[in-house]
Amino acid sequence: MTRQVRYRFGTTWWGRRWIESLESFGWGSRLTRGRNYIKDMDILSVDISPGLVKVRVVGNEGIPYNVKIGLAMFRDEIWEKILDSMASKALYTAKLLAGEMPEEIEAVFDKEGLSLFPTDINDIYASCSCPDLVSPCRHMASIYYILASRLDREPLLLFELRGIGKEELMAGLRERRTVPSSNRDLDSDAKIVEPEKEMEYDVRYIMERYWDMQYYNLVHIDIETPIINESILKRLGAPPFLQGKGDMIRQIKSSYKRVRLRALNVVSDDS
Amino acid sequence: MLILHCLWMDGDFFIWGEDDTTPLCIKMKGRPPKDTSRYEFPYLAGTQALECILKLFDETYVQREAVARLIVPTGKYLPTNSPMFIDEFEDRPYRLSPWKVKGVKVSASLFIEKLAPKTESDLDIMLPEDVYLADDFLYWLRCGKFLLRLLCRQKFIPAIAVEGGNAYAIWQPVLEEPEDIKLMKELIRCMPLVCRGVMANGDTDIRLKNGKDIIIDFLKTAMDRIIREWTVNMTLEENKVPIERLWLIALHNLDNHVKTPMESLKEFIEQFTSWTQPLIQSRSAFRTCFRLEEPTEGSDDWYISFHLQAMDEPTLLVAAEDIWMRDEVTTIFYGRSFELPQERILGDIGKASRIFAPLERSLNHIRPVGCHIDMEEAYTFLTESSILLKEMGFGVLVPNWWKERRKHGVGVNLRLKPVGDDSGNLGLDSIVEFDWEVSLGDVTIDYQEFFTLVDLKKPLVKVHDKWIELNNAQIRHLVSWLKERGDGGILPLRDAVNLMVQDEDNPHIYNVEYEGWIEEFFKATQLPDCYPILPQPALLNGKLRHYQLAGYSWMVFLKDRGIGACLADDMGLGKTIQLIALLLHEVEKGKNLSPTLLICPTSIIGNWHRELEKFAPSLSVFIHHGVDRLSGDEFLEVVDKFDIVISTYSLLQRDEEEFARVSWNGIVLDEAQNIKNPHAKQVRSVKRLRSNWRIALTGTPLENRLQELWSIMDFLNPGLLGSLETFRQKFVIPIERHGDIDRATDLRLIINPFILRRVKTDSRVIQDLPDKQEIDVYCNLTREQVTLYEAVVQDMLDKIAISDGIQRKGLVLSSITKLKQICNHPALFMGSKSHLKSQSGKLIRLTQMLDEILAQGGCILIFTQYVDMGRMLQTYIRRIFREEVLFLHGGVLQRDRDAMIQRFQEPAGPRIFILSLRAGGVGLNLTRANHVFHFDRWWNPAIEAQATDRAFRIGQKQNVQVYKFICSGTLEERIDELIEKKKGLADAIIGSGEAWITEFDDEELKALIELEQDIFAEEEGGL
Repeated sequence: MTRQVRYRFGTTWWGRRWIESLESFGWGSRLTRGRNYIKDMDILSVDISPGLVKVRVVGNEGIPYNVKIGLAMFRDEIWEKILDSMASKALYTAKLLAGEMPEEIEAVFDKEGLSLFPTDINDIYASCSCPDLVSPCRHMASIYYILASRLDREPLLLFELRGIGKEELMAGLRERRTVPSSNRDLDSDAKIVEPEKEMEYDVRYIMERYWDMQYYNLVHIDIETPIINESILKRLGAPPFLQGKGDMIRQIKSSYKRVRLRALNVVSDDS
Repeated sequence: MLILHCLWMDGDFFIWGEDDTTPLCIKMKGRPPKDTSRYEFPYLAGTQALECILKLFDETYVQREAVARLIVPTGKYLPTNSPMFIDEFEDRPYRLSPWKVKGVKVSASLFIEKLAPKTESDLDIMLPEDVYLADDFLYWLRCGKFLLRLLCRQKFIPAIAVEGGNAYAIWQPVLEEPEDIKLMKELIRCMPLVCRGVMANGDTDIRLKNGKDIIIDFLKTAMDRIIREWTVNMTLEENKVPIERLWLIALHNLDNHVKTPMESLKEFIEQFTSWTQPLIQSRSAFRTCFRLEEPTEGSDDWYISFHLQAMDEPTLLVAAEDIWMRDEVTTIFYGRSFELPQERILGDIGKASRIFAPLERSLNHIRPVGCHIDMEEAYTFLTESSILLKEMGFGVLVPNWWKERRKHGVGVNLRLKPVGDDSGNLGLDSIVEFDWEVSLGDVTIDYQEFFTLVDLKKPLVKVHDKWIELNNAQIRHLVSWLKERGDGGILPLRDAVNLMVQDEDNPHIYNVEYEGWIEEFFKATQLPDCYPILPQPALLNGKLRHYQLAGYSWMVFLKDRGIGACLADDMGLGKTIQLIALLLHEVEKGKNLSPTLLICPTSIIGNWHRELEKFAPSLSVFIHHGVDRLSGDEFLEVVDKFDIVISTYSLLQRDEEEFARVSWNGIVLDEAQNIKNPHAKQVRSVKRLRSNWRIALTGTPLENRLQELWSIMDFLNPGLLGSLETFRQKFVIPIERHGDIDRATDLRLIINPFILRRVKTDSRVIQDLPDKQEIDVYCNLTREQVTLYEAVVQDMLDKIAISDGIQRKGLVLSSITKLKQICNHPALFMGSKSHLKSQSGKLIRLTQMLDEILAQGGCILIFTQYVDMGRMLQTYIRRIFREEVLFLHGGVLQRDRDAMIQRFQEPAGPRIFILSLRAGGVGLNLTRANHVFHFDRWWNPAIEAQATDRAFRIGQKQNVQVYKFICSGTLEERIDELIEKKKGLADAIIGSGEAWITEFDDEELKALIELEQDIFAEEEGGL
C-alpha cells in the first residue's frame, strides 16, 4: 500500500518553536530520522487527553505500535494565575480561537517563571511499544514532528498537553470575563424561533392550489458578480491535505475560475 | 394552445406539456379506475412539440423521452388539468391520484445555461404565441436563476461524500449569506404543489414529497453536474496515485467515484472536515458583524462597533456589551438560541484583525466592544477590508452615504442653453450650448473649490454636511476629461441626450440643467405651463377635459419640433380623443393630414372607426383590412384620397410593400406595446416606413418593460437611445437583472421628455374625471362566431315564419339566448364538446384591457349572466395573468361568499372578481374595484346600474370606469341603440329581460338580429 499523507511542519512560529525546543535536547540524529520516517508510516489512530497523546502507528514492517507522549502538566493553582493574566486582555482568547498562538503568551508564562513550550528534557515523557530501546525511537521521533504539524493548525493543543483542555481553558477565561448582570432585555419575552416546518395542507387547499405558485411576486433573484474571486478558497486557506501540492491547489483554483467565468458568460449572454 | 410544465426528477429536468387539442381517450362511464397510474394523463402534448420548443433554446437538443408518475387532484374519472385551460369541470376533484405523464428530459446544464438566464420578457418574445409556461415551469426557472447566482459568486466547495461503502468526490453548494438563506426559504415557500407530486420508482405511497428536500436535491445534484461538466479535464492515467489526487481526479471527471479502500480515507476525511469547519460554523443563528460609525460633528473619531447579527433577520443586532454578560454555553438572543457567543465574537475579531489590522488594538481590552480608527483607516475599511470581511462571511454595516456614493460622489452637471434666438423648432436637431460644472453629489462647486479639495488629498471629505468620497482614480479621470472637453461648446440636442445614454467611461452625469425652450422641452411632461395649451379644435365633436387638452397640446408641441411622442396615459383617460384632437388641430392649421396611417390591433379597428365617426365626422377614414383588401397601385391611389388609413399590426408585415410605397404624412401606433419585439419582422417594417411625424399610444407602464420601451422609442426617435445592444448593457441588464435603482433614475431622466403618462390618481387628472365613466367597448366576432351567428339567425327566421303564439315566443327567446351566447364565446354556445381552441372577440378585447389595468395596479369586477361564462373566464384569466380570480355565482355558499368579499376588499387581496349578475346584484360592497366590466348585457339599465354600484358605493374614493361590451353588427349593438334612444322608456317595458322583443314582427326581428356586413372579423389565432 502506498503512503499517502505528507506533512509539513513548523509553518508557524509556535510550530517552529516546538521543534526548536526538541532539537535543543541533544537527541541529534535520533530525532531527525523521525522526520524522514513519517513517509513510511501510517497513523491508525490519535487520542489526545490532557497531558498525553496516544498514537497507534504502523510502519513499513507492517506491525502496529502504540506511542505515548506526555508533557509535564501545570498544577491547578498555576493555571488559575495564568488564566488571570490571560483574561486581562481579550487578545489571548481571540488569537487562540482564530487559530493563532499570540506571541505575547510567552510573557504570561514567564511571569510565573514557567514556559508553555518544553524547555527541559524532563518536561517530556515518551514511550513506544516497538522493540527499539533507544528513546526517542523512530516512531516517537516522527510523532514529535507530526505533533508540530498539528500544532501549526491547533495551537490550543499545547495547552491541552500542559494539562488544560480547550473547553476548560475557555470556560475559565469566560468566567473571568463575564460581567454579572440582571439585564436580560434581549430575550425576556421573545419566544424561541422554531425553524420553519413544511406546511401541512388540507385536501381542499391542495385541490385548489395544486398548480399555482404561491407568493409569486415575492421572490426576486438578482444575479451579482463576486467582489472577490475564489473567496471561499481564500477564506478556508489551502486544504491541509493538499499542503505542499501546489499543482493540485492550482487545479482547484482554476476550476473555480472557470466556473465563475462560464456562469457570468451564461448570465450575460443575450443571444 | 400548449402549456409547458417542468419537474425536477432523478437528477434531470422533466418537461411535459398539456395540449387542449388532445382528444380525451378516457371513458367516463362505469366504474372509475382504481389505479390511475396505469393510464396516461389525458391532456398530454406530444413530445415532438416539446422538442421543437426546446430547440428554440438549444438547436442541438434531441429529445430524451421519459415517463413520470405524477400525483394530480383527480375526480371520479378525470384528473384536473392545470387551471389554465378553459374547461367546465363537472368531474370535481376529490382525491390525489397518480397518472402516467410522458415528457422529455432536459439536462440540468441545458436548463441552467439556456433557459434560466432568460428574463420573463425574453421568454415571452422567444416562445410561439400559443405556448404558455405553467407556474411550475416559471418556478424552476427561478430556482435555476438562484443556482446561477450561487455559481457566479462561487458559492460552492469541493467535497467528499460517503455512500454505501463508496466515496465520491462532489461539488456542493454553500449557503451561508443571509440573502441566500432568505431566498432559499422563499423558494421553498412558493414551490407549486405539483412540483412535489413526482412519485419515485417503486413508491406506493401517494403523498406529496417534502419541498425542501426537492430543492436541496436539485441544488446539490445540478450544481455538481454543471461544475463537473464545465471543468471536466482529467482522466486517470496512473495506477498508483495518492488519495488526494484520486479525489481531485474524481472531481474533474464524469465518474465521481474515488476508487480507494474506505480505511485509507479516514484521515483524509478528517482533515477535510476540519478544513471546511468555518463553513459549517456559519450555519448558526448569528454571525459577527462590524459596524462602521462616522465621527460626530467636528471630530475625526471613526469607530467600528462589534455586534452579533441574526442570520435570518439582518436588522437584529446584539451589541458586544450584551454578549459579555452571558456566560452560559448556550444562550438566547431575540428568541434565537446560540452557542458560546463570547468565544464566537472573540475568535472572529481575531480572524478579522488579520484582514483589518487596526482591530487588534481593541483586543488590549478585557471586553472589547469596538475600535477607534482614523480616517485613512476608515477609508481602507470602506474600500477594501469591509469587502473582504463580507466575503469571509462576516456581517458588515456601513453608513448609507457610502452605499449611495455613486449618487453623491464626484461627477458633473451638464448645463444646456439655447443658442441665440433658436426656439427649438428643429427639435432634436436644434443646436444648443453646453457647459459643465463639477458636482459632489447634489452640491455644485466651482473649479477652484474642487482643486482645493483635491489638494487636501483626503479620501473622504465632508461637504455641506455630507460625507463624500474623493476617489483618486475618479478624480484624475475627471480632471483629464474636463481638460479634454474644455468648458463647453455647442452641439445638437440629439448628441446632448446621447451623452447621457452612452457614457460607460464618462464621469457620472448627476444632473442636467436646462434653460429656455430646452427646459420646456425636458420638463414638459413633469411641469405645467412648459408648452402652450391649445384651445380645443372647433371641429371636434365633443369636449376635452383639462388634462386631455394638456395631453393633446403636448403631442402637438413635440410633433411640431419633429420629435416622436408617446402618450402613455392610463386606460380610460381617453388617449383616443386626444389623438383625434391632434388630427383635427392639423386640419384647422390648414395642414394636410392625408394620408395618415393608424395601426392598431384588429380587435379595436371597429372602435377607432366609431370614435373617429363620432368625434371627427369631418375626417375621411379608410380601413385597410380583410381578405378583399386593396393591393398594389390600387392601394396607393385610394390611400391618397383619405385623411386616415386604419390598418393592423399583422398587415404591417404582410402588406409591407404597399405601406412602404406610400409617403405617409403621419404614423400613429395604437397599443404600441405590440412592437415590443425589436427583431420581429413587422417591427422592422414599421420602422422603415417614411413619414413626417410619428406618435405612439400605449396604456402599459413602460418603465417595467424596458425592451418594449426601447423598441417604441426607436420607432419614435430613431437612434436616440443608441443601439439595442448598448441599451441592454447599460440599462436593461442592470435594472431588470440587478435591480439597479440609480440606473433606473438615469433612464427616467432621459426618456421623460418623450413619454407623457398620467394615471387616474394624479391630482391634475382626478379632479377632472367624473366619479363614474361609462364606456361602450365594441368588439368584433371571430369567423367562427360569424358562422354560428348566421346559422342561428337563419334557423330562427325559417322557423318563426311558420309558427305563432307561445311557440313563436319561445323560439324567439331561445334564439336570442343562443345569439348572446355566441357573442360571448363559441364554447358557451356549443357546450363542453366544442373545440376549446376557439376564440371570441370579447375575450380578446377583455384580455388586452386586463393586461393594461393589471399593469396599472387596478382592481376589477366582471359581470356576466352566464355561470358557465364566468367559470371559463376564471380559468382563462388565471392562465393568462397568473392572478387569483374570485368567482361568485348562485352556487356559492353564504360562508364562502362572505370570505370572498372580505378577501377582495383587502388591500393585498385578489384583484379580479367575476360575478354572475344574479348573484352579484344585491348587498355586496366591493369598493376596492375601480374597473367594472359588463361582459354581456342584461339590457336593463336598472339592473346593470345596481351591479355597477357594487363598486360605486359610499366609501369609494377612486373613479370607477364601467365598460360595456357590445359585439359590433349584432343584436347586442342594435338593442343597445334601442335602449339608448328610448332612455326615458319606462322600466316596465324592458324591465323583464328580453320578453318585449318577442312582440316584434318578423321584419322588425330580422332587422334586430341580422348580422351587419361591415364587421371586422378577428383573425384566426388572434391570441
